Amino acid sequence: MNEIELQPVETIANDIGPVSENLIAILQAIQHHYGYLPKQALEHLAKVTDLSARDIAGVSTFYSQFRHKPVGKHVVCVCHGTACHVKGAPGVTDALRRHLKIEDGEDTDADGLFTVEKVACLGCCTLAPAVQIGDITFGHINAGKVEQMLKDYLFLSKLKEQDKKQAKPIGPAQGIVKLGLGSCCIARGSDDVRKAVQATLEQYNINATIKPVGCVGMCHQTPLMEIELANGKSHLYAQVQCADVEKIILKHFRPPKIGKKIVAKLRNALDEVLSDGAATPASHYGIGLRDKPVAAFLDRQKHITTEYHGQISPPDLQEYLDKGGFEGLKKCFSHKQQDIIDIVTESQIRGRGGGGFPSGIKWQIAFDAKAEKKYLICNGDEGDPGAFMDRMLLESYPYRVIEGLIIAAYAIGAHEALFYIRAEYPLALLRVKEALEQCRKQKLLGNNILHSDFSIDIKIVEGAGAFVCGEETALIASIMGQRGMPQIRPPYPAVKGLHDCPTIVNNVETLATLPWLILNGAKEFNSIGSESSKGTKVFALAGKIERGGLVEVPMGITIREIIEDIGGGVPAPGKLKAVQIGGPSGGTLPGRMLDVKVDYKALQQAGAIMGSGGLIVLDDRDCMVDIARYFLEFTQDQSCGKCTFCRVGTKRMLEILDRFCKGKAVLTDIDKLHELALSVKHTSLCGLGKTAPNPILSTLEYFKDEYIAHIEGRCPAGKCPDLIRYEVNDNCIGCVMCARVCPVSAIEYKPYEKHEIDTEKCIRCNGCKDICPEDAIDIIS
Amino acid sequence: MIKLRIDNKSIEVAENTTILQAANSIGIDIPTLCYLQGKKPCTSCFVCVVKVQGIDNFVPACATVAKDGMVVDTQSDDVLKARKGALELLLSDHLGDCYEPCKIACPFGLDISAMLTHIENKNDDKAIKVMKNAMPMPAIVSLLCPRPCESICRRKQFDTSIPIASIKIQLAQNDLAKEKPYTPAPAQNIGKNIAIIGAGPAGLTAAYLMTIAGCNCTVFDKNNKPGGTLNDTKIDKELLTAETMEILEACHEVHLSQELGVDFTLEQLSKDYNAVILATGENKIEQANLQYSKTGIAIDTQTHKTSIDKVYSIGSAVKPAKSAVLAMGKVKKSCSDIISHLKGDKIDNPKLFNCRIGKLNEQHIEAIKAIMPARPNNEKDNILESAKLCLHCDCLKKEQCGLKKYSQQYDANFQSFQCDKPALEKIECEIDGRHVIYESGKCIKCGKCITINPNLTFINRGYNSTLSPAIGMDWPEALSVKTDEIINNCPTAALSFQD
Repeated sequence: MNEIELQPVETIANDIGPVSENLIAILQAIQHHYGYLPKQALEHLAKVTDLSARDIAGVSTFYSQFRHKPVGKHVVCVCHGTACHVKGAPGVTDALRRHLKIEDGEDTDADGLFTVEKVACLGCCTLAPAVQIGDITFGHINAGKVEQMLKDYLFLSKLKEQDKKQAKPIGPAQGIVKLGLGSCCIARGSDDVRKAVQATLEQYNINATIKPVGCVGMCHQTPLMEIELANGKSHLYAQVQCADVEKIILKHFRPPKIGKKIVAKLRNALDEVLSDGAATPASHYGIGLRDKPVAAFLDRQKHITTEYHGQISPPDLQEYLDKGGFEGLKKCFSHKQQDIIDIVTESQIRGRGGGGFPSGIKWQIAFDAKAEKKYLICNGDEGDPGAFMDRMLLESYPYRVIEGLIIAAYAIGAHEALFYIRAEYPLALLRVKEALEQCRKQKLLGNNILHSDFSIDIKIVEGAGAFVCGEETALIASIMGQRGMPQIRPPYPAVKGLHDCPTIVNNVETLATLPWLILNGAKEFNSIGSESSKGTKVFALAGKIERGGLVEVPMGITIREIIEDIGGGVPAPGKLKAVQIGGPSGGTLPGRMLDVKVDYKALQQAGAIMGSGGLIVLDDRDCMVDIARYFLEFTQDQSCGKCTFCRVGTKRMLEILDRFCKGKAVLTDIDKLHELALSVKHTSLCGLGKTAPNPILSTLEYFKDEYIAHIEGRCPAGKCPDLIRYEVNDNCIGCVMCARVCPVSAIEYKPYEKHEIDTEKCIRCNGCKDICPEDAIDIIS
Repeated sequence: MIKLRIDNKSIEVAENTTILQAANSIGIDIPTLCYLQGKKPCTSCFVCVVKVQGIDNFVPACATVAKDGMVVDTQSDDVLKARKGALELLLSDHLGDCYEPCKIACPFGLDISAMLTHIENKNDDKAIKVMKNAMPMPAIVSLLCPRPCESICRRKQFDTSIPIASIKIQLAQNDLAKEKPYTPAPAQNIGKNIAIIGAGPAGLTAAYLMTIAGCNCTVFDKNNKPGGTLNDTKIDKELLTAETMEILEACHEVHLSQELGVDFTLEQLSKDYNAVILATGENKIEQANLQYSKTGIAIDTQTHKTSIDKVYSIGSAVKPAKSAVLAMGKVKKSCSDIISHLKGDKIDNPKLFNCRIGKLNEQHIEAIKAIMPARPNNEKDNILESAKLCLHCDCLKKEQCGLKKYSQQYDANFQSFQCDKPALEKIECEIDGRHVIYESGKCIKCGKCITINPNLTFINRGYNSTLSPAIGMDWPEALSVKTDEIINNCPTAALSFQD
């Protein structure tokens, strides 16, 4: 190994503070410095500090974020979230590795230029399959587009380096340009749109403000741009592309120095584009909130947690205050702690992170516990592939979450609170960090806040990539700088948690609901919802759905209403087959059960769970065995490894599912799988193990016929590569596109003739089918 | 005080007592592999699970604190099934053979690995002892044996098998050449007089083993010399005489040239002896009331009793065997059953639990190649050099292994899952003059050693987690702290002394 400069290790450790609680932060900083964690650096860290040498070894290998090998110049993150998986992410990873000639067991190409990494979820499910390289996100990638994507990236990253000159705006303020800047919007290009808007405003010296706003939830329409004119009129544009920006800006704003004629000409040009149906780019619509699909998308929702969605600028504290921010907290201070707990108990709100434990009862336990110190932790370790509600809330409503956190802390009597946010959410971390800074400046944090006698401070702890840390005891271990291993409960953290003190761990969404709940009261809150489930729930709606996005719906709404009314159903020609609710802990319900209500009890009875809120729609081209295998692969990888049933059991289940997908399973494997799934469910310590078998149990219950088909060597959905082959049908016009895209030359180049696929050579990458303009490729099983 | 019920027994315990402690205090045994007394429970193995009324899931007894009014079930079928399930999962991820494959293949179940270890340690006397305690006439047997031990020898996959039979022959001959060859000391006399009819392979085996077991054996044979069918083989007559006489000399009485039905009758013998054993080979006996099966004399398969009271039958007289040695191996088991029966003990032959690696994968082969003893040039004729080649496939802690003990008790199947076995990794180091071994494939990740030794940690996560020294430390340094304690507490042979 090459010698490396070790001095920075010492500096980093001393800057952060070389105590065991900071170990993860120190490792993150070391990795940031070197690009990975060199062994020498870790040895040096053990030598020059009092940090435990065994913790350094244990912790640095526990969390997915830490790398022990040098990383390529560019890291290609292929999203393997649920939505991306069902739309072909595995094929994208394979194609990338093949294209870059990355050897088995390696993740970086020989030149050290690209590292290919699978990531749990980029949270842009509506772009699936998505790939992120550096700060550029590519959507709808398939095997055939991989090469071009890498070329585009190298080209774009060069362009980005070029600076642009700044000019001063002249004249009176003409209005505001609002842009959705959640990370999913950014992933769909809204940041580039922002830059284009800025450039345009500068170029024409237009005096208008760009206002980044939080998530609107309409991911299927992003990038969204709203022009709010000085006269109060507003215009909403959906799916805006950089090329359209100049025209849109000039349509609404008047450049001070350009003659009217030219402007008029430009405007006419834009009108032409908009009015000429044939020439309208599909990516570019002017829409109104009363447009039918948009109305359908928004009408059935109920915005409590996401109140003022798309209207407020996330980092703007004043705006939050103007819209009633921190009023809930003020109300609290005029009440006794017990009164606040009573309101929450009466509201019957249950934890939104997945467990669904009544929040009021949990608070009461911590409140009643006698201790010198109590803690409140905001659990922002959302790791569920296909769920990004918490990220969106932290990014778009940081102040609301902070307010909720302070309310909860006040109620139980905690004066120290923490945000635990996964490092994979850089924007959420940044927004919360800035928001906390603002709060401190405005005396909303610190001593005697809002002139009360309540004092509190809030810290941020960065997670380092471990799904199991969503479990509260594992999360506490992680905050202590340890491996994220869950502990047996009882004792519950509410009695004995962080530093052995009573600790409440509440999910982001739960906390974000509190300001509204306190302000409007328990009665108002539990007038929404069903018998056993009150209030609203935020779902990330994705998969085979017309209008995907983030939706907040009242409890008690049916799944059908969410999918058909809000989401607009499955895009043709697909037919709805199932809906996966609750991600890796949840279940897959068949199409005939769509009338199940969003209700803790009803969902559990049906074999799913409320979970954290991932809702993936599956159509007839999705294989249920593959879905079960996909989730098991995830949970198996995320198991902390402590308990036998989870550590070994999930691996054995995955192996059995692998056999199904390869057509090598036998009939007895169904019973074996079922029996093992029940054992793991009933004999695990923490939620991860207890719920990991759910995707198997629900698919075995509702889609047993598909398992049997796999035993017979068929994959009815045409998904499992080992059980299918590709054939060219008579639609083929001999355009040779398939032959050109095939990475293994399994298709001979035959211009103007019907092509043929050599099944022996074919690796089932789906590249030919993706590119074929004539739908001439059939999948045969 | 906390009042609870465990398996329908009421019990009072102090606060903060775990279910495991409570159950143990009233003599209810709950198995556990990861529990370390006085330390915070690791709750990893899940072998100690019990059912608590009102809780859907099984809970680990080691870490669940007893609560007032708790109703605990530690023995119900579903609890036993869950424990078996935990053991089978652990076994599916456990790489090792409890016993060396050659021992399992040996008709006499000879501890070949132990025998070779003694030879390696230049202690041939102990090796002879191991051999002769397990089998009669070792030289003859080894000459005639089809040598299943050598066919299955793992070394064969790399070059050639250990010449186990040749080693045994050499050992036996060295022993015979001594002034006073080794004879196993008989166990305490159990006061049973046994008549054995037939001094062929079966009869001699019975005489040898039953004498060792503390019986007074009297042997009858119609021929004027012992050996029966062994006399028809190409075996050197001198050797035959030497080894057979060794057996007969240890017997109570020997009557040669005495034929059943001519010189004595079964009725007579059954009066004079506690048991009569028919070991007459394939010869049909003319005897009233003696029933036959398709293959030979009919017996009760458990007790080996024939249709005549006090008369037993063994060997080829019951069912002809493919070879004399295989028949003798069977006789060994029959004799132990008959002795149990005579003593009035329950004949219990539970299937001995034996985890096996089975087929080696490529990684295993490479790993073994890297650590296996090199083959010397002068190996032939030198039992020391041959013995040194042994891979010692058996487990160093087969007597202490908790996983084995409970797997036997719960009838766990180590092949319950069709799966890849873990990698083979063996770390060896000298600590305070003792040879310490860490075998990662045997580790069940219970976490006990980590609780005891601050230099050890788990690295990686989930199924890939594995034991490791702390950063900047090597194995010898890490294992040198509390070595005895970690090895004694390790529930498998992941950590062990090799002495």
